[in-house]
Amino acid sequence: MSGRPPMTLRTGKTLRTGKTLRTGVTRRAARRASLLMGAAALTLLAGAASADTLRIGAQADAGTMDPQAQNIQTTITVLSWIYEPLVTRDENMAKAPMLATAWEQTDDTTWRFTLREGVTFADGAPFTADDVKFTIERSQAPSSQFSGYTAGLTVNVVDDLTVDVVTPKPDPLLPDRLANIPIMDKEWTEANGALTPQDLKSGEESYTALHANGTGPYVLESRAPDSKSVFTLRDDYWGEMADDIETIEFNPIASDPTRIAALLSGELDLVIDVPSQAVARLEASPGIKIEQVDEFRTIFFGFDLANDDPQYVEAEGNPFKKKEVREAISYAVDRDAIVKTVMRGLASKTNQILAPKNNGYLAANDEAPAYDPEKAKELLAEAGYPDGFAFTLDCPNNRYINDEQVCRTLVTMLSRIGLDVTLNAMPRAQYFPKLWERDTSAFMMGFNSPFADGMYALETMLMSRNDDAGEGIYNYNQYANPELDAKIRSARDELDAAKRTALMEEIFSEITDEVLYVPLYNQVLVYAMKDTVTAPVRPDNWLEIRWVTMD
Amino acid sequence: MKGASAAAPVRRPRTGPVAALAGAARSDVVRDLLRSPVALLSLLVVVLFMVAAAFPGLVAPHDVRDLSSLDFSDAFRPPAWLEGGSWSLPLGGDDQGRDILSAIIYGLRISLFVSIAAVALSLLIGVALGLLAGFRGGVWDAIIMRVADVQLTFPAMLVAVLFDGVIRAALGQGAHATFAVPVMILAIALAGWVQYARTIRAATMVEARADYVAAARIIGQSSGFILFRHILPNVMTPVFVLATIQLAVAIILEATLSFVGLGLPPTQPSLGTLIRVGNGYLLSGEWWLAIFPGLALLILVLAVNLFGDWLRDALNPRLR
Repeated sequence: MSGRPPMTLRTGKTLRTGKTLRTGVTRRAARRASLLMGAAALTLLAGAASADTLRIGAQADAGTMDPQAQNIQTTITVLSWIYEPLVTRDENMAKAPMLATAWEQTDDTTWRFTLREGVTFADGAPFTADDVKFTIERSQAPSSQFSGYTAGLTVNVVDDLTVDVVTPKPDPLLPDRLANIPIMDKEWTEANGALTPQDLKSGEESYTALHANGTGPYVLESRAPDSKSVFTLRDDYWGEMADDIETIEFNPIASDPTRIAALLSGELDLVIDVPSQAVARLEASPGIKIEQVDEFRTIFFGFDLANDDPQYVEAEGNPFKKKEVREAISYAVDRDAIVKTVMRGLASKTNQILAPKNNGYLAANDEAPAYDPEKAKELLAEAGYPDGFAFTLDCPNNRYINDEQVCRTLVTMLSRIGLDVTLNAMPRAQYFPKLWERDTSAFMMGFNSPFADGMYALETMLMSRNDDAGEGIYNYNQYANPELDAKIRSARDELDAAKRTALMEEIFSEITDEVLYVPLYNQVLVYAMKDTVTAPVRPDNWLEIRWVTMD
Repeated sequence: MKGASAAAPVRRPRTGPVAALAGAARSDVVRDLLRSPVALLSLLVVVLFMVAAAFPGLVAPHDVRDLSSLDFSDAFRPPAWLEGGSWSLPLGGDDQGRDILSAIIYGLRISLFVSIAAVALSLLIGVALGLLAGFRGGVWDAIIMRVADVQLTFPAMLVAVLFDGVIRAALGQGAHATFAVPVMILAIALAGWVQYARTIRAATMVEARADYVAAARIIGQSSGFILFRHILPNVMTPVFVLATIQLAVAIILEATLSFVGLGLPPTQPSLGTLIRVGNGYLLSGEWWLAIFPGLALLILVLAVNLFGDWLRDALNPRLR
């Protein structure tokens, strides 16, 4: 007995791993009940059962704790446990009150928000209209990645719990936009010298990168970037929670098999970013369940459409500027094979950059050209590149499901039409700043237009770049076409919903016809979790912690 | 020969290591080798792997460097003896439909090239610095050996990762892919030179006091001449043994760096890269992607180690 103390330690650690193990522990504990060690094991059993920790595994860490510095879903999701916007979404993705209890349009360009009373930040400071004004203005700074939502807005404080937000033009989507702007405390942020969002492009470190103070249900207990972040439940949270999980552990684990093995072995309770090839195995594993939904995210490839001599292309001129070359690439991609083999059927092929159920989506645009390398070669020859050319493809390796595998497959497929592609795969922490600097000639991207509306995708990925207006901030292909800009603007300013949708459909059709991007597929989003955990999957991959329960 | 090498004080000036090995080959060493089935087998395996790596075009069923020849419908095809397998891909296909056997052979080529080049380079650095420290002594010795001591406190892996990281930061991500092979060679070489330097230094200090060196000085030969023509040939034998064992270390180091993604890119797969790619499919049932390159690595390293072990015993007179 005394010779085997590690056994007790192990029982304590494996308590939360599942029913079979738990009975094993109980049996062992019962056998030793009269002994001191047995008593210790029972204490551990009781202690562990009430500890109530949800351990989440993801492929990469939130890049910062600053809510306006990085517009990547993982970061947005993690920060939504701490910070809250004025408007949120319910189970049906419809707008719902959060820090604002009501909003109404008082004239064409003015929206009045009534704020929730009695809400406090984690440090005890009350939530007021000044915080709303401060946050929205902060999000308009050049280092913000959220200016696309708030560019041009003016905020007028009416009283402590009322604000007017004035849009430069009539904008029916304003409340949707503000659902992406979590509110920070003015005094706290000012006191810690974080008046502008952390600038991730220049590698700036700021107080808000490692500290957080929001109105949400959790506070940041400890943070080790890229290793583990721990969040604990506030006892004075104003809102409702489906459960009262005491602690959340967020564990970035880059390696797919390691992350899945951690779930299977009981070290994690919930895994997001489940690789497609692991789904069959997880479905067959006892004690594990799978939740999946068609994600709003479309995966596509983009190319430098602006420079005459792109940096990472070895060819006469810029081949990507020729429509035939982009068409050739589209014909050379065997979408069916990628969906079947790399994505294991957990994707649907497409030929547009907008996923179904988004406003502006047109089913006809999903019709992708059939795989035809011969036709692709003809098109290349037509464009003046009969022998192909060489270029470097930039690709993330921990951002989208199987991103690097998809890129490798693309390299193989393009080699068949004579394109010599060098793959440059890197972690997202390097990838996105590189794209942001437009330091790329060909890249992979996955885009999820928020609030189920295609306008954000049009504004940020296809308009000419104008950071102050939040336009073209993600047009990594540097496309600039005044005619298209004008069309997008007229759709944006259209107040008649039906006309606006028709205009957007027309624009998305044009993008598909012109092959401004080469779309591949829409992702199916998969979460894997223990039987004891319930975590509804939102199609925008937003893990809403307020809905998660754990037995 | 046996008597000559067993009697340590008797020197063989102007006898090159090649001559020494050739002399030994005629008698003891070959007889020893023939008597040791383990050594014979491991030598055979190493030679086989080296030949395959040197002439992959003759051995490999497919040229995996030609991406356009890959058939995506072969992706994840199981090994030939399993259901759905095909003998055109004897060990199955990887995620791109690449023949795993051919990928292993071409991967072996890169792994062996990187490791052999790295060992040669670290041998060069180590021997030069060791000779200098042992022959010059004094400040030279102190500086070189303290640097060596400091480096010894870091694991080889850490040194290689550090070097790789610095180069990566200096060159930038894009250029790194182009220089991946030389960077790997340098990183592994810098991690391994200390062993040679220490061995050579100790041997050089002994030899420098020998009578034949004194004799050479008396007849007026220059220091450089004495160092390279008289001392060097007499201190090289242990270095060759060390190099054999270091080769196994270099192979593992290269595989480890590639496995964690710091080494060669997936478009230029070494054994470590193949295992890294295959590792992603271990849990989904496509075990052959990782297991076969892993087995190849295991067999190669084991064979090199066993042969190196035997060589050390065979060339060390004290163990007779």
